Amino acid sequence: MLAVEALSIRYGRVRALEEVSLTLGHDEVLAVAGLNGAGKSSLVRAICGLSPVAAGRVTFEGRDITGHPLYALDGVALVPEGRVLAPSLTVAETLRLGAGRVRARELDARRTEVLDRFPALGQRLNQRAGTLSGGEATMLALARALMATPRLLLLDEPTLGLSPAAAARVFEMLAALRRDGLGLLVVEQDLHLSLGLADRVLLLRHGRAIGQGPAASMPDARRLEDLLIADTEQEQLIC
Amino acid sequence: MIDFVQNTLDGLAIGSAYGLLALGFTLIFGVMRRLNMAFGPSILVGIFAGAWLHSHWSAGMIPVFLATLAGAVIASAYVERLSFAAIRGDAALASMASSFALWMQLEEAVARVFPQRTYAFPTFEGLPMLELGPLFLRPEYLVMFLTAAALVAGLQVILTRTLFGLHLRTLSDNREAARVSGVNVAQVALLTFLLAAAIGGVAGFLIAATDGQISTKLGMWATMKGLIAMVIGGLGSMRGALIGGLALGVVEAQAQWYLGASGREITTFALLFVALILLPVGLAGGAETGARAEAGRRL
Ligand SMILES: Nc1ncnc2c1ncn2[C@@H]1O[C@H](COP(=O)(O)OP(=O)(O)O)[C@@H](O)[C@H]1O
Ligand SMILES: [Mg+2]
Repeated sequence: MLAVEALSIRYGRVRALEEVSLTLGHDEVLAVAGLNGAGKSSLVRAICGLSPVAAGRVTFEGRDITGHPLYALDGVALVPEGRVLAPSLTVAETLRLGAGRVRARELDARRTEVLDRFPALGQRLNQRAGTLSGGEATMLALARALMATPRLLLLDEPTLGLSPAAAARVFEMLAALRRDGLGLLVVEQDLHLSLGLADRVLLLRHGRAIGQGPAASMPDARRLEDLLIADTEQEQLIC
Repeated sequence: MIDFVQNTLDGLAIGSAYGLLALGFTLIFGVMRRLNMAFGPSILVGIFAGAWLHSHWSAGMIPVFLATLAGAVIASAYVERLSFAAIRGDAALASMASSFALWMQLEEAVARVFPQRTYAFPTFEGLPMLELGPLFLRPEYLVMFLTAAALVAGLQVILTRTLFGLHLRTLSDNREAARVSGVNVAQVALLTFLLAAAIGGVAGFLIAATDGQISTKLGMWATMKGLIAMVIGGLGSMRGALIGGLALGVVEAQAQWYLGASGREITTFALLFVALILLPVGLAGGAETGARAEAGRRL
């Protein structure tokens, strides 16, 4: 469904990503792991046209979408790092925003479906997004993305700043989405959580892919963390 | 006392036009985070397009109105492409400076094509003066006030009931939130710019039709009135823009009556300073919007 080929990203002289490739199928979950500054956000944002691509190619469902802006992408939605809600909009308006240009009937159908997944948001439709708790705001960012009825959902550290219990709830939600046929690319710092959900894992260090493979064949979370920190290149993982 | 009430009534009418000008500034400031100094001169282009149609083809009110609107919108589109869309990111100062340059350019262009000092503009003649007991209401003022009210109501509907309005509000609140939600930010910004120009064009038309004559000074005049009303009301707040416009109109009318023309100018600037010093968030106060928080950091 999604294929990234030798993607490189530069910000001026900063090389944020160097020739990273990945693939993702339907109802598959790819977890991306790496330390701060490894290039995870850059990768996610470049896939949906929010960061400039220096070289490489992104194809989605067979179409080349390299550099296509998010508003022009059908079937792709993003839960950005830090959630990025407009604080003055109400929950209902934020959901409307996520749906984009759709007819009233279709809008109602989507809203019903999304609120089924997030009943807590249904009770706060007229509350401003800026007044939500961290967990609720994460759910709203997720709900906003789902209002676009994506087939591919990109998530950038959706559990950032959440309690362990709230983080676990987010991952339960992601598991349910995978069961419903969505492809998920999720950046997650907590390796215990991401190894529990992901089919495959991509490890980034200093903008380079240092390993990629099935989650089942990955070393345990502790050792993975050591690998991400390690400064030597000899520990290349080829799974 | 009667004088005071009469002045207030007149001031509210003129103030509603000031409010429209301030609303135009506020809309642009909301989505662009920068002031469009060429706003008044864009309106000037519209007014002179209307005056041209009037003098060459003896066009009536409606064609002149449409020409004014079209002129203001086209001139604003030019300003947006050159000074806002082309200059991206954090270069707010560059945008403002270049919009200042376009102010000069537009004003100079109009002055070249229309070298006389003043030109005639059609008026709402034939409408009867309204008497409310001891008070009088000029029919132009009633038209001005009612048109402004209708426009504000229409804008409210656009902002709260349409997807474009939702996009505009999202962009004013948090630009990044608009981007990650799949909003075509450049397109919404351009449309907002043109919407503001149309509102400013209506205000310019009403003011010109009330005076019956226009000069190239009107561009700077509109920029100043709009900016002052916007700052009085509190940068970035739409309700504040309206309140600021009405307050400016009333204060000017009272000062003109009691202190004369030079007293009016002094009072206007005194009001501006009071607003800047005592009420840093403007008369509308209170509710912090994203645009206003940003304004605080920028200015
Ligand atoms: N907009 C930007 N401008 C310049 N440098 C950036 C920008 N965004 C990210 N970077 C740099 O690119 C590298 C990767 O950043 P990022 O993709 O945010 O990593 P991660 O999400 O893994 O923490 C870092 O060195 C960061 O400082
Ligand atoms: Mg990141």
